[in-house]
Amino acid sequence: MSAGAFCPICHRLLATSQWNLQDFTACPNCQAPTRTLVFPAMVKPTSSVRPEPRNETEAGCFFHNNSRAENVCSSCGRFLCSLCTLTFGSQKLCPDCIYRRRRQSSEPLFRDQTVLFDNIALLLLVVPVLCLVYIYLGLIFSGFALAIVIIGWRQQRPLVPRSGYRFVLAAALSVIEGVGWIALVWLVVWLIQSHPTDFGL
Amino acid sequence: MSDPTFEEPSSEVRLSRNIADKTTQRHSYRKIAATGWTSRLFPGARSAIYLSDDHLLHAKQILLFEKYRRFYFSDVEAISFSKSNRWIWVSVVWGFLLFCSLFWYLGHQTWCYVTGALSCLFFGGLLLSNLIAGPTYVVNIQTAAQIRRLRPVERESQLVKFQETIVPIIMQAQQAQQADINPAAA
Repeated sequence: MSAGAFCPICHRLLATSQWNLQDFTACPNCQAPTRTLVFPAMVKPTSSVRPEPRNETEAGCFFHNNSRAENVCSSCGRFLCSLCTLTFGSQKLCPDCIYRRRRQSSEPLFRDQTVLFDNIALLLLVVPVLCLVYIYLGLIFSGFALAIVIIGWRQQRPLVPRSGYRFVLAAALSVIEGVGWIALVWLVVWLIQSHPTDFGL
Repeated sequence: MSDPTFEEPSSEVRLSRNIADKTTQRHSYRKIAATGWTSRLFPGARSAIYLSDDHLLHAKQILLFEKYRRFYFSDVEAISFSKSNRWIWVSVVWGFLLFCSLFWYLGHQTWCYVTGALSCLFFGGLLLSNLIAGPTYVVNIQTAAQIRRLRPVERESQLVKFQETIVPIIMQAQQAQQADINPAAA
């Protein structure tokens, strides 16, 4: 059983008499009007994880041969005792599978973050223009951004649906900025060559 | 003698693992709430809540990354929310800026009138949208392992909709789990 429900404002424990009321009640500590919906998981007794010993006729845990198997790993099918069973939603997994699947970037169940390549590419294109670094390194930044777009198009795997328009926008901007930078340099060179005296040459 | 726990599995076991991995259900996520468009202006303020078969996913975007938190329906212990005065203070700020925009009309120039009108329209729109969105709350979701603030459902209308969607699903999941553990009691 958990310690209880906490006030969202002051993070202090709320009284059990405040659970599942229809109206707002004042938090005993900060007096903020608070309402708490408590679910059966709050009062669920914590089951002992001490594995039971097995007898001759029972199957043993893969990891602890003397403990009675109580579950089967959803991923690899190993027999597991209560100590080795780790529950993820509807799946029961063994520690070995969790370790292995955490290392796989393609495994969505254990992924806790993803890199947004489209945002990186857009930042690489926008920030140099705002900082005027574009004048000197515009071609390099647009090249980098285009490379990130190409890599990220295949590598970016967000868990949730994400539109691809940012990639298209970044690709278009990188081409425009690259061509623009070449045109700018060409213009400067042409001006210097056509009017060398104006530039002190 | 090596520990069998850390031994490399045989090819048959590896094959069965691969099959099991490929047949593992991929979750399809449906967005049920998200922070407003103004949150796009501030890095780290943008987040959304997605609904899956057996869990809620809280996705928070921090500029170049998206961080995910999962709340399995069977693990959710409580959802608590407190009324907050944020919407009043935000309204005061937008109202003050709207009032300041009126000073452009003291310029008696055409461009001052145009700027004033655009400024009034912008801040007036923000004030109006804030008032229409309604009161704000601070919402926390609690499991045995974590307590997280759910920013996407901090407006009253969003919170009501969120409760209507989520509470029955959580209750159903936890009652089903209870029935699995103790069939006699169910």
